Amino acid sequence: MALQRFLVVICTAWPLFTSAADVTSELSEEAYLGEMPTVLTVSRMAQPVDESPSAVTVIDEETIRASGVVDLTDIFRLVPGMYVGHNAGYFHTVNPSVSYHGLTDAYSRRMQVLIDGRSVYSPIYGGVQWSDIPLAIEDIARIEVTRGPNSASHGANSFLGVINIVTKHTSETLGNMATLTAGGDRKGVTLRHGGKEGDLQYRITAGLKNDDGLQERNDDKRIRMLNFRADYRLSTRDELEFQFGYNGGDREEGMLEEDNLLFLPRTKQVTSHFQQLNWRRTLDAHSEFSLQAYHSRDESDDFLASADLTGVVPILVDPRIMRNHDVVTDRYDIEAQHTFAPTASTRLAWGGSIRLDRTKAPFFLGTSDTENFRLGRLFGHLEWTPLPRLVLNAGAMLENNSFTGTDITPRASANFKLAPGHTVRASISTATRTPTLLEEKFNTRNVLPTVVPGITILNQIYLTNGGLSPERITSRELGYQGNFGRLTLDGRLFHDKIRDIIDGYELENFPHDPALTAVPADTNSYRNTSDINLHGFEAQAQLRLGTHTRIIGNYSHIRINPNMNADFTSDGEESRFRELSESMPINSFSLLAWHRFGSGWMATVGYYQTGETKMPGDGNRVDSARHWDLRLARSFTLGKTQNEISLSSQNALDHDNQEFARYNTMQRRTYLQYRVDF
Amino acid sequence: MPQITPTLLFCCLGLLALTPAAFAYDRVTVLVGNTSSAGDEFIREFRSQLAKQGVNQVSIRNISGAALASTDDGMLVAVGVQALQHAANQKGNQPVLGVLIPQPAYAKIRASAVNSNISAIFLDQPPSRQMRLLHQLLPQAESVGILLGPTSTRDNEVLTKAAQDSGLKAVMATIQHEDDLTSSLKPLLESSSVLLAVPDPVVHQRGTAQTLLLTSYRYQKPVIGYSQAYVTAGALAAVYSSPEDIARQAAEITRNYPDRQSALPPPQPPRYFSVGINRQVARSLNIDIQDTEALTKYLIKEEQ
Repeated sequence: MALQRFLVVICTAWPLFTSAADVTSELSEEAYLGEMPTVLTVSRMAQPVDESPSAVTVIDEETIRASGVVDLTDIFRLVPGMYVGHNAGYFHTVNPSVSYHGLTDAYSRRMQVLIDGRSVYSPIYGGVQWSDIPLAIEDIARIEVTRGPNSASHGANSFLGVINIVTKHTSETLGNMATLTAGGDRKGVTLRHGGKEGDLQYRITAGLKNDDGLQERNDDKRIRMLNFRADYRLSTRDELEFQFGYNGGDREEGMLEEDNLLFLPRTKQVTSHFQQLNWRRTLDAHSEFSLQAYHSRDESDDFLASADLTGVVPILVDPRIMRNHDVVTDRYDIEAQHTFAPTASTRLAWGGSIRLDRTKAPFFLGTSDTENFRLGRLFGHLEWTPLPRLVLNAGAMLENNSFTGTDITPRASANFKLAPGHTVRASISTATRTPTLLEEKFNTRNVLPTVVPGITILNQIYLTNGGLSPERITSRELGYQGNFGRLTLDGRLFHDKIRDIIDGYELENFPHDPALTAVPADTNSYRNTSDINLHGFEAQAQLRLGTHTRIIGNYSHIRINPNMNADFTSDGEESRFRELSESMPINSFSLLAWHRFGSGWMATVGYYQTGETKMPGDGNRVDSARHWDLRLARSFTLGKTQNEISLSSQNALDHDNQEFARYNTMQRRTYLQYRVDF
Repeated sequence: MPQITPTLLFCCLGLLALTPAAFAYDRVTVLVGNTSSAGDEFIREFRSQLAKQGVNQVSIRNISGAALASTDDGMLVAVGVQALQHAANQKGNQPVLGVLIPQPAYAKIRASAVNSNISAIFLDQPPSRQMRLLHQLLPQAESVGILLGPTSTRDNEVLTKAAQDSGLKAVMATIQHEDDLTSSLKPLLESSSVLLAVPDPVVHQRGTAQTLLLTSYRYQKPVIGYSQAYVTAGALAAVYSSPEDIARQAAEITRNYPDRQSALPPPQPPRYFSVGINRQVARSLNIDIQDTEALTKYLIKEEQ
């Protein structure tokens, strides 16, 4: 019979295995028909780059490992339009300067940085204290950099760009790992253990890092780090994530060459820690609800004594000025978000959050009270695909904060697929930047008793009266994203208009206690001044030759045009504002290429070139710079362990290379690394 | 939700229509172990299929109930591993058809069965079918990574052959313990374009799905699963048979073996199947996918 013949054919083609002796575990029908937890939830999956409303640079784990970076900030050299200074100024000496599209001094106040949705942007200074973040490079899964404003998704200060760091899920870090780094001027060890107990998975990562920094600078750092993450699956639909992180240790400060009176070389102690809880419920394949709450605390103990000032101000009772720079900030934040698909062609994400930043910085704020900054947000983002080739995105953020009141920042974009693998994007996006606590409430002074009866000197260094408006940006761009087989290309033209730039100026007169004698000195303050236009072009290309070779190249060309339409209070203020045009190299280029040879060998070459800059604040003019990074690695298996030994050299050819300021010379740094996964 | 086409008949539609509707197995007993929704779905569809042929004498028994009468000469359909194990241990020569049975479980039961008159419809899809789907979804894929465990390691050769037939290179790794999953998975992902999941209790289960799917996603490599649940969890696609698919096939076997003296047909893979696609994953991995109906039709055509 035909059917029987058919079955015989099937059964011959489908061999049966009747020896059952070595079946060690039972396989039941449950494996085929039972439920499974939803792993790739809506929020875990990245939006495809060609459907994204903004230009995005994704740095994946492979790139981070292949680059061999020890300091996370070095990886941002691979983002077109970004400028990285290994060190910045001489206050917060160990802090690197990372900025997108310039307009920044040692504090990159116009860029947001998030780690697993937690903002690490400093409420007091603005920017990020990169060395103080409790985060191990080995735990990073990927970094997504939005190039352009994105207040609609992440709120104020997502102004010129957003760095979004995503750490690995605990199910990706099961087992043990150890990394050892040894070089003439840097040593480090990172240990990680990942485990599993039923539906609970966890990891502990601990690290020590001693870094002597640049040769000529007082910038040693001793980083002690401990991170913990646990993911608990409550049901196939619910997941709970808990994180705790700590980073503490000594940081050197000060620079005799720039200031030999007040900011003398010293060592301060910092402590940062955070606790974060996320609950995610998958409602269906398109919808998810999540609730996130976190607290973070940054503490800095910095007590400094000036040089003996007898020669400068002979009448002081105490020839040394003692200052306590202690700063404590706490951030509490709760956010809820709901993502769903109202119709087959639309997706909507909406939610809200509340935040409280509490800062105690008596010396900087002129009060021993704790300053509270409150923030409330409501946001919505709609993605609509009216035609298979067209994706429209529209979103807005409604924000209210205790400094500048209420603002709404909308965004809209259209992505049109010209042909499969070729997409053009047009977008307009707005954002605000809230003044930092110092810009709004800076009040720093020295009150110095003298031996002259009735005279107590008031040296007012900073005084701001508050009431600043937020900075506003409107960014327009035209982008293209193309796939040519193994090559992907991404380019964009942008034109940004920034209004009401907050900038420093010298305060002439200010009311003060008549019992004090104000010495004529530069008293700095902040105000909203003029506007700035930015325009330029950026491109990134990526070539993958099989699974063994990858080449990433980036280029950016940017022009910053200060619009000198404000009434400047002094020539100094005017020229400083004009010089913002040089706060970013006009041209910058970076390249990273790696190849895996057979038998476990792998080589990486990095090349970085930036044009001339003159950074504001502590920065000064530095020439165009370039450097090569080289890395050679050999991986091998020993028993059940996977090992890798690598030799990396930053600025391997020892080019004369300054970043941010002349006093930051990046000499060659070579180090050996060993990593074992077991 | 990932889209699923209505299940499609892929062979012998005409033949079935011609078969005389003569039921020797006019008494069918369905034996169940633990009640499960899959078992219930099977029974519902199996009953309705038989009812269409005028057979209404379907009795349901639980293995914990009264012992099966050895004189019972009707056909016994055992639903799930537990029920089949129970039936195979009974004396006598009653024909037993196991349904919703993984192939390795059947092999194990068969080896120690007291009653040798047993057969089964497996849950496992033929590797050739999976490879065809994979090739159709990802025509540019050159190599398929397969992580095997103690149970599935025996499929090594069949899988290699099936991959070759679809123009793919199979890259295999075998682990003996769940702890070795992460360390074996990464090199496998580095050297293959896509990961194919083959059922194995050590490699693929509720607890490991997260590691497999997240790590693969990190490498931007799609996973081809073997169940609808795997697709929902985050696999790009799967070809699988639902309890209803199996019920249809079981009803056909009941109908097409009218002579109660003759042996049951040999154990066989599922004849009816569905293709599940996770559109969200496809979109995120930038993979253009045809609709599931076209994919299913293609697979049916290729098997004819």
